[in-house]
Amino acid sequence: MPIKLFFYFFAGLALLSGIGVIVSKHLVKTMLWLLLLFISTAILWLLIHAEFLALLLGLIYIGAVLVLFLFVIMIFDLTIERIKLTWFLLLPITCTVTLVAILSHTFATAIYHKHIFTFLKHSKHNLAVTMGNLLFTDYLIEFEIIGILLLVAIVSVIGLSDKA
Amino acid sequence: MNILTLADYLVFSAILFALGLIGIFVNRTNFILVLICLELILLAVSTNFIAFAEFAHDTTGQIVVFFILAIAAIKTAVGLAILILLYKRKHPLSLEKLNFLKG
Repeated sequence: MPIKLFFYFFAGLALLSGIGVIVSKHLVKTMLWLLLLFISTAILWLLIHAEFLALLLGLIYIGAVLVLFLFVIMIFDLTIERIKLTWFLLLPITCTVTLVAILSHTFATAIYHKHIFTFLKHSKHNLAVTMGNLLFTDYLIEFEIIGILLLVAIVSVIGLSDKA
Repeated sequence: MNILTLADYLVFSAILFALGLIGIFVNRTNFILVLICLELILLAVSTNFIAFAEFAHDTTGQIVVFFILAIAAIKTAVGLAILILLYKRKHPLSLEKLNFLKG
């Protein structure tokens, strides 16, 4: 099966899920559309040889962020009103998205001449090894800063939700 | 016609970004939906980075996506903590009514 068909199928699925996130009327249905979006984007990342990041997307985005959203929706009965989607709203949305698609395609083909991905066959290491090597040598400072940022986030969340 | 090009990924990322932005414009009073559409935007930007990282055979883009994922998780956690605090103190949860700094 040609790879482009695979790409079109999952890209279409991801874009339909994006529309479903915006349009759906119930908050839990929004979460389910978001789940489908993350899964199809992870598969698109797999096509581009970023398998470590695709799995990390499933682990962090789906496994932590989405579950956190669902917990908050479930425990705190949040029913917030949404704007009713009418044709008056749908027409400028469709026009904007079509314009963005045409403009970005023109930009991409004009500057990059629709360059083909040249997949290096038989690369020596997979992405996890390469990223691990880079994270601890060239990008060590950023890695440590992310660690400190995570600590700050944990302390702030606990401080916010403590009985004040 | 069977060959995957960079333009495919860039167009996909641009459309996803536009959808997230439109989601923020449409659902501008709903706190959780704004957070979700920000996740959509960050996902589009991450796809863009990964496409360029593969195109240029440079792992820098993938490292940036690693950090973007971490920061998105942090932002979600802190945003939801603020939302829970607002809910507990019985403030109105609609974003257009949240225009005070004290509380």
